[in-house]
Amino acid sequence: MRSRHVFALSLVLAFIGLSVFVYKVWVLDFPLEEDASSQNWSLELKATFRADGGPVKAHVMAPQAGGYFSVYQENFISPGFGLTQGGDDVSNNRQFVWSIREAEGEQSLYYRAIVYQFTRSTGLATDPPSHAKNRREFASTAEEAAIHALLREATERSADNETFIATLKSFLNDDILSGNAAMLIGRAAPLKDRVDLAVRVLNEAGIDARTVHGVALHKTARVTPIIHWFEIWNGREWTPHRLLFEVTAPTESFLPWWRGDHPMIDVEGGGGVRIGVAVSQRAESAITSAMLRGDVTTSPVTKFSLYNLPIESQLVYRVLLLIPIGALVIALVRQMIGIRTFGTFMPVLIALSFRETELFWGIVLFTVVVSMGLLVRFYFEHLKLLLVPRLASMLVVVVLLMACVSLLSESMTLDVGLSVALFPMVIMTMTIERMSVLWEEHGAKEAIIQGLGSLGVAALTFTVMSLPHVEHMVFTFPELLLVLLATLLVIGRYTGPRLTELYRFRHLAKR
Amino acid sequence: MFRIAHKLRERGVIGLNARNAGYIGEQNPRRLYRLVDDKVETKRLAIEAGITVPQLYELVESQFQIRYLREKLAEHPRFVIKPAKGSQGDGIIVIDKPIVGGWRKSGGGRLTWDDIAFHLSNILSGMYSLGGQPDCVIIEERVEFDPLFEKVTFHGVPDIRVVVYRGVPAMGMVRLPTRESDGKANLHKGGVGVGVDLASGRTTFAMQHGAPIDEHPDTGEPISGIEIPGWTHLLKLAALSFEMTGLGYVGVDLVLDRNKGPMLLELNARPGLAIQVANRVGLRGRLDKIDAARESLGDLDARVAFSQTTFRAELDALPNGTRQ
Repeated sequence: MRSRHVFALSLVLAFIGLSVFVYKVWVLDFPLEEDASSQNWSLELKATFRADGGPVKAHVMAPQAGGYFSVYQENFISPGFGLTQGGDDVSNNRQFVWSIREAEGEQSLYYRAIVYQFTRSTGLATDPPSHAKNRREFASTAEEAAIHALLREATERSADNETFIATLKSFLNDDILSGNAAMLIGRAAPLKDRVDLAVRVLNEAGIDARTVHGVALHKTARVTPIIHWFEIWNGREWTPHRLLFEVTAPTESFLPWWRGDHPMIDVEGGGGVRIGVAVSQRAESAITSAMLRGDVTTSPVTKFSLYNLPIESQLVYRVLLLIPIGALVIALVRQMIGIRTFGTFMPVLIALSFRETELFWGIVLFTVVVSMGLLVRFYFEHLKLLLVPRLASMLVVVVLLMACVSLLSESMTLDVGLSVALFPMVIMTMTIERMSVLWEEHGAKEAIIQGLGSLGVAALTFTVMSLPHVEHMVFTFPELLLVLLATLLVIGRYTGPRLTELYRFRHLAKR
Repeated sequence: MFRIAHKLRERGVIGLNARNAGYIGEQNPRRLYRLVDDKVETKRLAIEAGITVPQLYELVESQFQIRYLREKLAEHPRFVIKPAKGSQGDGIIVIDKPIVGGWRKSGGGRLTWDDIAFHLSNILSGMYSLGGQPDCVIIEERVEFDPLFEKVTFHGVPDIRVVVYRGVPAMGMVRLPTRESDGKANLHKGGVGVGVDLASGRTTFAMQHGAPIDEHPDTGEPISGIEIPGWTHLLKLAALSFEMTGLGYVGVDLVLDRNKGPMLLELNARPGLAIQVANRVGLRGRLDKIDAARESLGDLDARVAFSQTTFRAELDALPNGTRQ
């Protein structure tokens, strides 16, 4: 009787979920696949300088969204300094100013941001060129002559603008420069000088061009160099061009930080400025351009779509809506296979934190912290503490362990700060406590088996939650969770054997 | 793998899913769990129903009572410490006798007063209770077990578990302590489970850790063929659990005291499934038969009589050859 009730209820739920889903896909044209998904990067700029003892103003450029990139969650970290936006004339760049009334000695300022990198560009910059700014005075008649000579050279060897640009680039791509280029900037000129020269020549030729400076978001690096390239105005928009010198990363990975002749950082009241930029790739989920534009294809009736929420809320829901998936995995593993874990839904929370640390490091971190926690717990036994203070002490120890582990491990990149904060320390404490009680009562083998089982289920849950389309489907079609709920209800009436039971009762099957 | 599943289904072996969804869910209303999860409640109900239970020496309910316990324990040379809301034998300590510096645990090992006080404190804080709930400590009489099982017990007290379905005894087994189980009869910890023929009260097959054995691992004595005296009376005590609690799927743990006869140790609302392995037969067949006949069975005696006539071990198979 009860089973029939359950089946009926789950049929109703599944029907509702599926019909809304089908309606959205067929009638409203919601996409079944993500378009323009992205990579996530963590960016950190560290600027150090020596303050002279008086007031200090540090102007620093910040990257802008556009093209292949979007910039989020900016943090300016500068204890004691005030922060304002804007500054002196910086044309179309974004500049911030850190200021302090009095500072002396070594100062460190940090800028951190999360950058999303798309596979398809969202469009190029369209601010019209201002000719006045782009034309610079010549430093000497010799310089003027050399530049004009270079221009003539390139013109003679090309037929139109396009080939002219290509020819000019080829002059500057050689490792060792020669001819007029060498005369102007030296035979082994660095990238910045070459790009500056290219832009000057282009401007002389009547082609609007400007320099762009930034970093290549290509692979994780503790120290990533500032690279330079240029943009050319084609009448509608600025198209990026680069030289094939020094930098091997693809052009699509160039994040434009600032444009023009301004320095990245300019400090008044201090000297000895050093800057370093670190980038690291994050394991977290992709953001789609749909989320950014707040629309889904061109359909009108999307009032109830989660895509209409602000980006930060969307990101939160993307993770929240994955939790039911994790719950389904756990229900299946527990009821059908029979694996027990320390805490029913503990693997889901561990899996969520694996999203910050990546699977391998997450497992390592978990194992290390639990093992060391167990050692400390066994020591605590000798101290004969009351239960709750003992648990609280374990929690403090776990927090300290997490901090130590992440400090000591070299291969952890700058994201560690974030992942440490999110790793569920309370869950770990309870896991350690339960594991140690089990160890004492039932022996080491039982405890370790269940510990590995919990970790395995967490890893499995993480893997399922990270499958490519899962996140997109759940977020774009949250009604599918009704279908998931229906499935869970049905699993709730499952009376068949668990896999572990087939092993446990195997003797009864013999004879 | 599917072959094993098929064979198990054929033989009526039920797993945890079937037990939970099908039997416990149907027969045990949640509000009645309290009566069996809390051993103090169970004792009270048993005494009301006229069933003998191990005498409750002390009930410790708060931390500050612990220090006064030391003198009180001096009055009892042997006792058992139990969490009132524990399960699976966790947190139970069986004390043989006082020795210099403390007490000796059943199965060996010494405990000082500090050890005991610490353990009591842990129990009170809920370390062994379901859901970490604050708990009480039961200090009760240590049973002097009947010499019946002397040859096949290694310290500790063997007990008899009867699964009672809707007031009808369905299956029974004897649980024997071993060295590995630290003197406790708990199968999870390495105790030996022995099937019992409900009709005659004679032991049939034995198993440890789910695998069949023929002799006790510590004493080496044969286990099958032991006849339990007063078996029908024991079954009636077990069936009484239905009247006592109203739960339809219960594991009844009884013990035979040398002087006082059969005593009720505890009741279990989620009895384990190892009893099937000990008897080498699945529960489902028996439960179905009970379902079919239940309407026509009236009082306690009728139910027990039904059980003893219907569930004979010969009908399944015997260890020394005779197959069905």
